[in-house]
Parts: sequence; C-alpha cells; structure tokens
Amino acid sequence: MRRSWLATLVMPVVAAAVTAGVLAGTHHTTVPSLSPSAPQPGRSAAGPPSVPCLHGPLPKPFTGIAINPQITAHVQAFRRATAAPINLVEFYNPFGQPFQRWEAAQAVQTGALPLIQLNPRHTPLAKIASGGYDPYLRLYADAVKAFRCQVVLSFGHEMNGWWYPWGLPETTPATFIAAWRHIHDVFAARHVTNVTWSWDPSHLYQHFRTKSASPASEWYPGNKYVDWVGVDGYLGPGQTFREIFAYQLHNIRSVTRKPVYLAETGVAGGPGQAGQIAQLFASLRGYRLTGLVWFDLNRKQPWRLEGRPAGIAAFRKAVAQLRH
Amino acid sequence: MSEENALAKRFNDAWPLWAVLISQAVLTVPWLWRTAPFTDEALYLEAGHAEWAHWLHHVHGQDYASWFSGAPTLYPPLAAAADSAGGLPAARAVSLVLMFATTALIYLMGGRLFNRLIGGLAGALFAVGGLGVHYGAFATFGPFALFFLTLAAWAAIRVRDGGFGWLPLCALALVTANAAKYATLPWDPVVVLLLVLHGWDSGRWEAIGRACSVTATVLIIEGGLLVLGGADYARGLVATTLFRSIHWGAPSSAASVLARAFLLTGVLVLATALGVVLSVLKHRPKALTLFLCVLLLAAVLAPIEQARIHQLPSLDKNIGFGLPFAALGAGYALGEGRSWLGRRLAGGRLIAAGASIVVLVAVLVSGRLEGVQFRGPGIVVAGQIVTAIRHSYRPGTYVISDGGARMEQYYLPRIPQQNWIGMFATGEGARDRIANQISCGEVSVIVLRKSAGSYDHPYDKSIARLLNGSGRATLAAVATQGSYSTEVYRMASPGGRSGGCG
Repeated sequence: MRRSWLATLVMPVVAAAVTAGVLAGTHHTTVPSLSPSAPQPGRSAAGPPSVPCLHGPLPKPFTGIAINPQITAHVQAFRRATAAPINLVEFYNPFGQPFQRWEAAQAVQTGALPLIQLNPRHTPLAKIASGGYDPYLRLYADAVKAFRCQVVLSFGHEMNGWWYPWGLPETTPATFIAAWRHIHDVFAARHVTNVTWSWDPSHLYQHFRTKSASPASEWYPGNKYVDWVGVDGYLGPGQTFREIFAYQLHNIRSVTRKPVYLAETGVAGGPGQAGQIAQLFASLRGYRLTGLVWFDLNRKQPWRLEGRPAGIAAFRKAVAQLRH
Repeated sequence: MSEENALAKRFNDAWPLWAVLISQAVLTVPWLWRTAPFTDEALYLEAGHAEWAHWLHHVHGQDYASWFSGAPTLYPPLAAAADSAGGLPAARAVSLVLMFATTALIYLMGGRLFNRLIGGLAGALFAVGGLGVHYGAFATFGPFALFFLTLAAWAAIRVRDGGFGWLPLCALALVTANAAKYATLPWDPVVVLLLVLHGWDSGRWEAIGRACSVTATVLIIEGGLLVLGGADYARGLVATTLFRSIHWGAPSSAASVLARAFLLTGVLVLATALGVVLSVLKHRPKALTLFLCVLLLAAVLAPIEQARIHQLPSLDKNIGFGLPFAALGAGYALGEGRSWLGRRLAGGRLIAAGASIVVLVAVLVSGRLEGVQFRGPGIVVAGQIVTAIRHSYRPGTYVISDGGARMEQYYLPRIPQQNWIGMFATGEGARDRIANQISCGEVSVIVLRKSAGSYDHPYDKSIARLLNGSGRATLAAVATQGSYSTEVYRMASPGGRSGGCG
C-alpha cells in the first residue's frame, strides 16, 4: 500500500524535476539579465576592438541588408555577389539581452551603420512603460553610449501586425507608444546622443477574416521620439510595389515628414523575381524613400538571394542603376 | 502446461480479435491505394519532410507550429519517413498499424473490464465503422493521437491491478496524444475519470490519488512543452483548437452538426446509452453505471464541442477520438443485453445474437453510406490532373491553381514551391496581376475547379474569361469525379514582345 502511494506521489515530482531541467537547459531566460555579457569564444572579455566610427550622412538612396550574426562574412559575400555598397547592417537583439557590441562593431568595421532591432518577445510592454525594466534599459543605454559610434535603434518592429506578441491583439497602440516614449526618455536621461531612433511598422494595414493589422499612424510615437521611419514589406510572386507599400507610405506621411525607408524587404523567388527587384529599386525614387534594407535571411520564406542567379543579376543591375 | 502451449492457448483464445483484425484489414487495405492524398495528408507529409530537412541539413522551413492543430515535430516526421520508404501507401500503412493496435487495445479493455465477448464486440464495432476504416488509411494526426489516447485509457484500467508502471505510461500516453493532436485535450478528463471509477472499489482514496497524480503530471509536462515550443506552438493551439470558431470557416448550425454526428456514430451512442439503462435495471454497482456514463460522455464530447463552436468541417476529424469509448459502451450493451434476454426469454440469447448482428451491420452499412468528408480524389482522376500539369508546365513559370494544390504539389515536387500560386480570393489588384502574368507568358498552367457544372467561386469565372481572352489557352484535361470536375489549361508562350512585362 505504502509503495503504491509513494509511486503516486513521486510521479508528478519527477515530471516537474525533469521538465524544469529540460527548460533550464534549453530555454532562454525571460527575465532581463542585468549582468554584462559573458565573453564568448573568440571574443575579448574587454569588449570588441575599438573601431573608427563612420562619419557623414548615408548616401541616398542607401542599401543595407538584414543578416545573421556572422556579419563580416555575410556582408563580404553579399558585396561580392551583388557589387552593392552595404551602407547599413540590420540585426536582431532580444529585449533583455545585453547590447550586442560585437555585432555592432563588425557592422562598423565593414563600413556600415548598425541597425539594431530590439525585440520585446517575452516582455510586457506595459511593464516597460511603467519603468519595470529601467535598470536593464539604463545598462543598455550606457553600453550604447560607450560604443561611441552612431547606431540606429528600433524597438518592437511590425507592431501594427498580429504576428508578434508586442503587436495586435496583445498590445494596444497606446501601450506601445507609452513603452517607446519611455525607452527614449531613459536614453535621453543617460545623455545618449549616438542613437538614431527608427520606428518600423509593417506594410500591412488590412482586416483579414480572422486577424487584423492596422494603419501605421495609429502607432506613431510622435516626431519628438522618432528620427527615421522604416517600413517592412515583402513582394510575393507577381505582387507590385504599389500593391504592397502605397497605402502605408501614404498613411505614414499623413503624420510625419521624417525620412522614410524600407527597413526589411525582399522579393520571393520565382520567374518574376528579377522584374520585381528592378521595380523595387526603381520605386525608391518614385516614392521618395531614403533607402532599403534587403532581408537576406531564410525565415518563414527563403528570402536569401544566394543560389538565385537571376535575382542576383537583377539586384546587381538595379544597384548599378541606382548609383548612376 | 509448457510455456509454448500456454502461448498457443492464448493465441487461440484471442480468435475474436484475429477475426476482427482480418475484417478491419479487408475493409481498410484497398483504401491505401484508392485515393490520392487529401489536402491535409499532403500538407503533413510536406511538413514532415521539411522537419527532416531541418534536423539533418538545418534548412529553414515554414513555421508550421503556428497554424497546425498538432505538433509538427511529432507525427509528420514519422509519416514522412514512411513516405520516403514506400510513398503514400506506406505513410497510410503507418496509420493502419496504429488502428490495428487501437482495435487490439479496445478488445483487451473490454475483456479486462467485462468479458471476452464484450471485448470482441467492442473491437468489431470500432473496426468496421466508417470512421475506423477511414482513419486506417488516412495519413494525418488522427490515428496517431487516437492510438495514444486509447493506450492511456488502457493503462488507466491496468493501474488498479497494482502494476504501477502503468501510471507513468498513462500520463505519457496522454501527453503524446495531446501533443500529436490538440483536439484530444477534452478526453483527458475522461481518462482521469476512468482511473477513478475503475479503481473505486479497491480503495477510493488511492484511486483519487492516482487520478490527481496523472493530472498533475500531464499538466506539468504539457506546460513545459508549451514553454519549450514557444509562442508559435501557443498560437497554433489557440488558433486551431481553443478558439477555432473564431479563426476558421463559416459557422454551421448546432442542429446540422448534431445531425451529421448522429449519422456517423449515432448507432454506437444509442447502444452505449442502452448499456447505461441496462446497468441501472440490473442494479449494477453505482461505480460501474457511472463508468458507463463516462463512456457515453466521451462518445458525445466531440459533437457537443463542435455544436458549441458551430463548426461542421472538423467534426469528422474529432469525433473519432470518442469512438473507442463508444465502442466499449456499445459492446457492453450488446453483451449484457444478451445475458439479460437469455434469462428472461426462451431463445433470448438467439434474439440477442441477432440484435448484435443487426447493430454490427448497421454500423458497417452506415459507415459505407456516410462517406467521411476528408478523402482525396480518386487515383485515376488525380493521375489525369497531374499528368496534364506535368506535360503543360514550362520550367521557370507559374502554375495558378483554384484554391490550394497540395495534392498536385505532392506528386510534382520538381516544380518549386514558390512557382505555385493558389487563388483563394481575387480583388481588383490581384486579378490585374494575374492578367498581367498571363499576358507576359509567366504562367504555363492554370487549374480551375467546378462543382455541379459551374465554377465554385466568382473569381473562377473572371479567370476563365481571361483565359478565353488570351487566345493562348488550350484545355489539356478535364478530370471528373461525381459532381466535381477539374480543368487543366495549358498556356502557350506569347509570340513576339509583350508590352509592360518586366
């Protein structure tokens, strides 16, 4: 009898212990770490090597790429393939993790401005707005300030879509705006002057049958808090630039005259890709955009140009035309 | 008796099970080859292959987890492995093996709970029904989850006899069933109640303790899995299962859902209800009567839930999870009715045997008449469509399909995924784009579908007008099955230069 009771009691305890062990071994903490980043193999514990900062404005229109952490190798390979001047490199920094100095330094070393997407995946935005993450934000701000070179910082991109927890329906525009302004204020209070604030909504604005995106203007934190506006959007098979971006660009320009660029874009592979890439670049001037960032990663769709000779050739040609 | 003789005796004693399994095989095996993959089958096989590519070659695939109704890492890779080894029939054969195992578990449960006759009847009622046959040749989450759900119920029943290894097996089988198909979650309380009621007479507190233990273990592991899976899995669970009514399809009336459910499993549910009545009439222990009530509840859970959320399409998928419980209850009713009639009427046993045959035939016939919704097109029809597309396709062009074309994609893996364009609705912009693609020669094949002789959707008509207007479309094949037909158009390359083409 006693043995049976023991077995009954022990089972959930063992399950809890094993589950906790597995989670501890595999899951990233959702609590912001306040300690400085641990040195990683091949990285100096004292931080990245000192890099000469870039000076002067970006060319107009500029070209950039969004890539994985192997920044130097990826940028070099992309430059070789497309002959594009990479003026900006975009990468992703989970909220709660330390400022990625090493990646930012790599971007600067390749001659590009770092664009950091700070993604609050496991963080309630209301708590950010109410100061619940101020110790982390102060550390982050100080790390950016110590980096000295100019960086572009974006928080909670594509907030007006339904696919991220920091967007609809879990987060309202008011909460997002309050969080954004609070982060900006923390940086201002720490006298951080080397940040360009980029607010990056998605091109989607429609209500679909089961889910909704909303017009970007509803989420705009205000001219005082934003320097650049970056729109994210991708061209599917046969889609035109106008179909994807026209509405949201018009909507954004109804609330601000800040410089607008494409903060994440790409064209799906397929027979029409080359023509669409040409159209994408041609539209930059037509829509008065300051540049574009090519999303050179394979995520939900294979957006990378690698292995697509027609796409690479079109990209190369479009960049050459842009420079002339 | 030597060990060998004991084994032979056990084998011979199980003749009702062998008979049932042979019947199940006879009814099911032809379906392994008879149809092309249904949309869901093709989709899960594609996801399974993508998972393998991710595990072996770190290839990034789609985030299936955020819109699948079961973990894409569990069943799909298994089916994909079988598909690689022997094609669609092999992937379906995995389901058939799982269904054989489920039938055997039902037989064993009936034998342990009541007697071998009831076990045999329960197994037969499960195996010959339309849903049982359908699941046995259907490469989706369903048969996999159903097997583990039944295994959990079997383990719950074995626990009472002191084999405490059955307790973790019960919990793990439930977790596997739930992870494989989230829609099995409503049957977790059923298994837990079986654990309590079956163990009630041998120590109620122990039975309650075991139920609490299994519940806690399942909650802990599933909570952990959800955290491990992350937001994508949580989204998948919410969108496909918890709030399915909000996210999927047009609503159906509760009456239409219940009417459909009655056609699919009505005979079994009525027989199970009769079992409850017989238990009351024969003054069986309250725990047994309650046990039978739980079986009845399990049998009607899916129809009630589907009626609540006003969703007919997923009824056929989910109603199967109550079948093992319904079959057990119905088996009990037939077996108990036989002894009850035998004692009261001369020739009562004969009448009961006749009644059992009538019920079995009713289940068999209703299963044959009431075709389950989710079948792919016949293999001949699919062959016509696929051959026409294969011969018409020009590399580097698009194939435009009315709705999804997963069956076609399954058979034509050499056409890159991004070259298939599924039309689901067309606004002005999209129609202009398709017109442009057609006139620029970027499209080599267009697939349109008709129902009862006319196009299914308004946009089909506009595409058909575009085809006629282009002067380059040739009807390559018309494949007809019942009132549905599929037209495959071959688009010739445009001669000379086309204005406005990038």
